[in-house]
Amino acid sequence: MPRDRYQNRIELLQGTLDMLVLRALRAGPRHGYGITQTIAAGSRDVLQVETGSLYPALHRMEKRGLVVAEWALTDFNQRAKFYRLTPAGRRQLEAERARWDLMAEAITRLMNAKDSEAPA
Amino acid sequence: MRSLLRLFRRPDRHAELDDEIRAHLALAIADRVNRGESPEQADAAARREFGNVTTVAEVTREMWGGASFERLVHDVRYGVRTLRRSPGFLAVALISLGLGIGANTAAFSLADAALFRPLAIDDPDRVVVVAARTPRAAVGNLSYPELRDLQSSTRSFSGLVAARTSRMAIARATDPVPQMRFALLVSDGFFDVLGVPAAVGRRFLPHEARTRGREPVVMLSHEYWQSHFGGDPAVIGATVRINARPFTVVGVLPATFTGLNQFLRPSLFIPMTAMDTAGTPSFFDRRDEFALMVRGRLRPGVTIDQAQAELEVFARALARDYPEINRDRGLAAMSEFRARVADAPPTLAIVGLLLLLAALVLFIACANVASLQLGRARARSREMAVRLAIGAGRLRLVRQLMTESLLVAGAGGLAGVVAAYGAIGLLGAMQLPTDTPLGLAVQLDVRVLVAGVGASMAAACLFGLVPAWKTAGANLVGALKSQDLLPGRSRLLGRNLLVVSQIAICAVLLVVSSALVDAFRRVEAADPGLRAMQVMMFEFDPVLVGYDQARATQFYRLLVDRARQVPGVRSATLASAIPFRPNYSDEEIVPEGYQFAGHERSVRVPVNIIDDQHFATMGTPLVAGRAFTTADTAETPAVAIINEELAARYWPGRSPIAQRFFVGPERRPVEIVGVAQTGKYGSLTEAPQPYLYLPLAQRPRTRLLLLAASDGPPLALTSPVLDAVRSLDPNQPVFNVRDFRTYYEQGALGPPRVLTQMAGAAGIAGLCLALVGVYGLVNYSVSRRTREFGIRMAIGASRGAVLRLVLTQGFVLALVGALLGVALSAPVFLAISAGMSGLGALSRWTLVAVPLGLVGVAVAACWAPARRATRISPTIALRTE
Repeated sequence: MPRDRYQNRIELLQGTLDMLVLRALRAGPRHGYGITQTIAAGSRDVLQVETGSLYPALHRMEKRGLVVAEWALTDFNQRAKFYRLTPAGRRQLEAERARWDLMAEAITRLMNAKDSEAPA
Repeated sequence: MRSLLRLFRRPDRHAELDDEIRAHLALAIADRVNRGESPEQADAAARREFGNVTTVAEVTREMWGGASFERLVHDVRYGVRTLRRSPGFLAVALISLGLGIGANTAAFSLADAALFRPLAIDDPDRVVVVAARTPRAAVGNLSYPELRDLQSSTRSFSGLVAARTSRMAIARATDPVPQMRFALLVSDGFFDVLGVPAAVGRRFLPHEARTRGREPVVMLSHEYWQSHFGGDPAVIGATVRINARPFTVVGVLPATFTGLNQFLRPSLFIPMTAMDTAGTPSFFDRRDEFALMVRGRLRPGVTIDQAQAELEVFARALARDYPEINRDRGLAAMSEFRARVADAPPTLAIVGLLLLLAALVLFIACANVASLQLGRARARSREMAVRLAIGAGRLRLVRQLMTESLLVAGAGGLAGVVAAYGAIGLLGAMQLPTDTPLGLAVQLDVRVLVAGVGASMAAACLFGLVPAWKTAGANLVGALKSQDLLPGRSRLLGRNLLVVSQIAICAVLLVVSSALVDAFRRVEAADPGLRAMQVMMFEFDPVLVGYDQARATQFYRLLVDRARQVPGVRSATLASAIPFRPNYSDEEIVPEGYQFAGHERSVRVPVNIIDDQHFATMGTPLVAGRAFTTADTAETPAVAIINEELAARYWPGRSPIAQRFFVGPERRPVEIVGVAQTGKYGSLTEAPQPYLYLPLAQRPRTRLLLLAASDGPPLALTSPVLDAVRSLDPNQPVFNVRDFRTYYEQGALGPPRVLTQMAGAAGIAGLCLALVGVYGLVNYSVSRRTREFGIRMAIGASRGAVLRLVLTQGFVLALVGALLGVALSAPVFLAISAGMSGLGALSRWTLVAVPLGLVGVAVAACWAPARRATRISPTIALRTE
């Protein structure tokens, strides 16, 4: 088995995958492949979601009622399973977004702090 | 209900996931083609990017969670897939477990038949054996008056019943000559109290079993009904002749109920009152005729200890009332199992030995599988780490691994049951050579299957837990970063320990089984004290066709005369007993002038009633005095011949010739005229037993064996002797027509041979399994050390040096294991020989040969991997990793 097949180019911080997927779905229903493309494009190819992480995440969120899925045709007339945000998913996204902002702000502040302010 | 629905929906969900993944790939490919890649390139790139489809589906499905049953189904599917990917592992595991579990199932089936299987009666736990405890017997029978007294004056039992075994001659309407069969004579209420229904027809009615000497009715065993009446229900109401009296068949017993003794399966069941013939001193009134096996059903709420206490009080009362007879007789209530053990301690020893050997084989087998699992843990460490990384719980992984182990164990258990089937056929052959069915009903029934399944589940836990625990405790990051999940040294240590213990246990197994084989060799070479094997035997009981003693005596005198005239007969003799089958008659004697210790006043000795030609015909040497002659008649003084053992015990250090002993209640004196060599009477492994011969002329018998020694093949005597019988009485039944050599080999050599074969098979199976273990480990370590060997050879190590390096590993493992095993086998052997007489001492040869041989073959098993190590090319070895 070749190495590192399931590791992201930049390892996603624990718990951020769900948020990214929910964010990708906010603009409208998407299938799994579409989600990877959206995330890749939106991050200028820095973030690559592996299928081995994406599909478990999608199915887990479907089970928790954050997304619902239905089969539909793509623009190119292909059958695919489309995931759509539920109201619960939307709330979850807001919550995770808030938490992320808080953390990002905190980390940024910490990293930019002058040395005298840093904890000993 | 919901989980059931989900279960039905499950295949759809699986298909849907597959569709989803396919769609993903199709979309990715289409995208790439749009960007200008060739379809082939796009396909390959998309698949590469997607990763392992099976694994992705696998880990995604894990998110479904759902009902535990569904998870189980999933685990099982996953396990089956994993196992299919490693057929080598599966094959070794199946063969190992098949042998191990097969050996256990077979051993348990024997143990079950001999000891554990309860009587097929209603609520058997509430039925206890009520037995006499005397200085002679731990489980003694009771007399009929004792039974009646117990029934009327004890309160612990809701019912007390009894039975005695007897041989009967039965003839169907169409049979010209009756056949000999075992009958169980039962007291009234026997089947009601035990709760045994009739399979066909009905049970005995109260009046049929209560009043003496009337209503001759009989029930048949299922086995006899099948074999002699073709299982025809019309047998009810039919008349059969039993001991020349007409009996009406009223019922057939269920196939599961085969009497009270596990070794003896009666064909007929008769109310004991029906066999009360007028005139003879009645068994029903004699307090000193102890013939009844008694069972009592405990009254609700009464414990076995309470019953025991009441019986003790009752026994003291009996001893007061009948001091002559009941002075040393205690009474005891015990479970059927305890009674069986107390009745025949050697049975327990043999059964225990076989169970032990089988357990050792199973341990070696499990060690093999565990060792392989540990080896596989390396290859699977990354798979496990990935699954942990994407959020599968450690518990989940452990369960997954355990499911896999259980699958292996289940398949192994199945293979084991198949193997056991063959072994049980072998055990079933352990029948004594008689016309009446005698021997254990060894069978593969539900209880045995449960034991087999239990063994496999225990095996699964044993070999599944270790790798599961190691994997679950693994260092995740290390595993993802490197190839190895576990620090190599500690796992190799684990496998080394396993292999050393395998070898050690194998050594114990080999020592024990070669001791058994040795003992059996000695048995085969043993002199049974019967030189003449060219002997034909015939058995008669003229009482069955209505003869009285006078007519029977006349018949035998004519018979033996005619037999001696048959051409080819060198000599012929009459005897009441023959070695290697239960001797039902013994004599209570008081040696003159001998001081007994304690309360003993007499000794019981098995007796054989013979005529003047017996020693000449059977070739038993006389060491002193004379044989009986035609001059010893009913009118001359009573004489006897004893064997050396009896002489040594009661006339130590002097010649017993012309000494006397007393027999019977009247203490009639008998003079010893000869001493015969001590032979083997019950089994070839027995310690020397006392034995007594009395002259037929002074002790008339109706049931006798005619033994005819031949100059040529003894079977040739069969038809002329039978012709002679018919010329005397065409209706005379003849039983057990056999040549003595066949009888001897079946009866005397059969059981120890089967035992030895089983022990030998266990030894060989253990050896093979242990060798597989050594081979597997050395092979594994060679593949791990490829790089090291490459470097060694690159810097100048010769092929011979590498070969030695690998062989040394196997040698050290085998040596440590073998020495440990030999050290272990000494106490094990002591424990075994304490329970089995005739095993002899542990031969020094065995103690040297077993470790030497074991180390030798273990090193040989390392030869192939060692050769492989020498063929490692340094350049290739260094490039790998």
